[in-house]
Amino acid sequence: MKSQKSKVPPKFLRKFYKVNKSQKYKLKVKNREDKGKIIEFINENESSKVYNLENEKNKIFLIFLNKSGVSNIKINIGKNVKADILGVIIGGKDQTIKLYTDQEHVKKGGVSNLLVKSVLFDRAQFSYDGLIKIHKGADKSNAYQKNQNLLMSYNAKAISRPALEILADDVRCTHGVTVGQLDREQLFYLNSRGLDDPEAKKLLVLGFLNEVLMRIPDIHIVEKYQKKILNEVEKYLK
Amino acid sequence: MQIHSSNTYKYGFHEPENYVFKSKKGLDRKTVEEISGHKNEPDWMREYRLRSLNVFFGKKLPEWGGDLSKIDFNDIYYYIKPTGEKAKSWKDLPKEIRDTYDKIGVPEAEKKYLGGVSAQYESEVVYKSIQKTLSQKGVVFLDMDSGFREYPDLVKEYFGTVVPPQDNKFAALNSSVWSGGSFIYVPKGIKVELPLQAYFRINAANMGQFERTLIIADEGSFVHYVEGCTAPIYSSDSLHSAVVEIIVKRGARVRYTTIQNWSNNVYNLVTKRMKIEEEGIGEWVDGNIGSKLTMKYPSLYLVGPGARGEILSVAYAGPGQHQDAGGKAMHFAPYTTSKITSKSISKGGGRTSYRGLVRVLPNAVGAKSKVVCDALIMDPKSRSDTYPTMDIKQMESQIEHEATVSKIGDEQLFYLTSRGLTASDAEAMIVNGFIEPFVKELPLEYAVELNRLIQMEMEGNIG
Repeated sequence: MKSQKSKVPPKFLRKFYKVNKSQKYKLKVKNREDKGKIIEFINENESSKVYNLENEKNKIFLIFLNKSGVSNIKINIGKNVKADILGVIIGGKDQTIKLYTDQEHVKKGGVSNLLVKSVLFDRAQFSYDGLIKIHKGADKSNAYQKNQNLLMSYNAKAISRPALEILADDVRCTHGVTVGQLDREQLFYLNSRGLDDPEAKKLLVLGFLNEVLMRIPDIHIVEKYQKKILNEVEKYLK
Repeated sequence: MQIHSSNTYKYGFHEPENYVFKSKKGLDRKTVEEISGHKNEPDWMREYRLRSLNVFFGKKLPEWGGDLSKIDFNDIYYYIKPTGEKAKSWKDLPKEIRDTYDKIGVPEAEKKYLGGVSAQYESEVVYKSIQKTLSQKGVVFLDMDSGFREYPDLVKEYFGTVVPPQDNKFAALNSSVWSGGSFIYVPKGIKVELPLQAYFRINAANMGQFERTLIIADEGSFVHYVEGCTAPIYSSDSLHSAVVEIIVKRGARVRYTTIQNWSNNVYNLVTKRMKIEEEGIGEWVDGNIGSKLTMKYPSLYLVGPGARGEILSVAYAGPGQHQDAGGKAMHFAPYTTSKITSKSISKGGGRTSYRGLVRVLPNAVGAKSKVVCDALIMDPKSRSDTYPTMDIKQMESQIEHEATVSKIGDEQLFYLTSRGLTASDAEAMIVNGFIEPFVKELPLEYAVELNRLIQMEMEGNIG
């Protein structure tokens, strides 16, 4: 242990680094309701994965995409499973990012909650396909899906195709999509306080994406991803 | 719940057939030429029909949406002419046709000072009355065939410009065998206060209706067109494939209301499109209650700056029914806005789908669009889908979509039953409240009829 001393991160992050290799680890949280939550990171831009949630009753997926590629994620939600699917997409240059998500409720009482936000600079293009499917007999299911896209350039494009297929009746499902740009008044306000354009935009983009990160009950991960986002955003804002 | 049998369908009555002319079953060049010849059409229309027929044969059936594989295009009469001459007034109509209309209440509707009743019985419009005030204003309200004869230049200029035959297989089919429908022209600055109405009916087994409607609203005018459909029930499948083209010129406003209540064996595959120019307003109010399968997506092509469009759609799918309805908004020009509201109810194994598209092209600076879909599922056998698509190529636009699917809340039901309502009454009340935004937009008689219909459908739902 002594030899590693120089590399060892601050005490509160130690555990995090150990488990991070498997892209999956237990959240360190204080409040009881979040206890036992597991987070899984999905960072590869070219991937196709199927997750069967049976025993992992409480899980968070964090999707972070910043390169061209197609990602395909299918999640089978088992009995009384609660799953949060979070997505942060930052695109720039000529990137084309495609994301498919599939929330399959196969058993009773599952809850899934998806929030995917994209910020698109330059000529970036983001295409999102999201399906919620409630199978026959999967009663008492709750499924949510929200996709918000922020266009930062006149040449950026967002295509969103959310879909709901509901074959049970005792359910509650919603989905929502928005596409828009930065609020000019907010930008003006920050400018008037002495922040230059890139600085102000950075702040607003971070604020927009923070809604996703704030769903993670572990502050260390949140901070790590905030840094990641800032790095990414700075690349595209001159 | 068992499948609707003929005696449970409200309008499931059937009069003996009485025709002057009936084309043979099936579709080929000869049928199309026969239809064209029968109507004494000019060469360009005959050519147009034949060209469209080739497009029809060239296109595949759409693979998305509902199941179309059961349609046998060779088992359909493409043209039927019911009685020889057009009736001048109500009394001149043959008795069984009058009886049919009495049952669906046309005379009452007419008494309520409606703009004019044009009843499509079979493929030809047989009865029509236009109030004198309309023609004095220069408003043209004719069936499509007469419109074609009396205003050939106007028709030639606009026919097929909004929905070309190449658009889709069923638009091509309609373009080649169309007959009947309405033709409306409203001159500049004229506002038609009363809704214009037409009733459509299918009354021969295996008979398709391919009506074609063209509405032209010149600058600054206003017109509200109401189309209501009821059809008797039959053992074999019927096909209804209409095309509606509407041109809304600068500053004009057009509202098109449909209540579709075909019997549960009809395939209802309709192409409806509105082209809206500068500052114009176009509105679709679309109710789908009947038919076996409906695939209908009224669309708004917002081509002029500041054009505005709205789609309000309600779908009800009972046993064996599939309502694949929705709306399309294409933003071509700056500062165009659109709003789509969809409400659907599925019950007893029925399936409702919302399928929509909002496309904002790079030119459409400042475009705004809002889409709201709400779905109610009444029992575990039923199904509800939502397939919206947003395709946004302009940064300065504001696009929103939201959808919810749920069943009737237990608490709402409990509250109403605790106030002494029976479960089915309570359910009907909640459903009527659910579709209230739609009903509010309907002319009174339709609103009353729709409320009764919902009441009827909900009876005995909770055992």
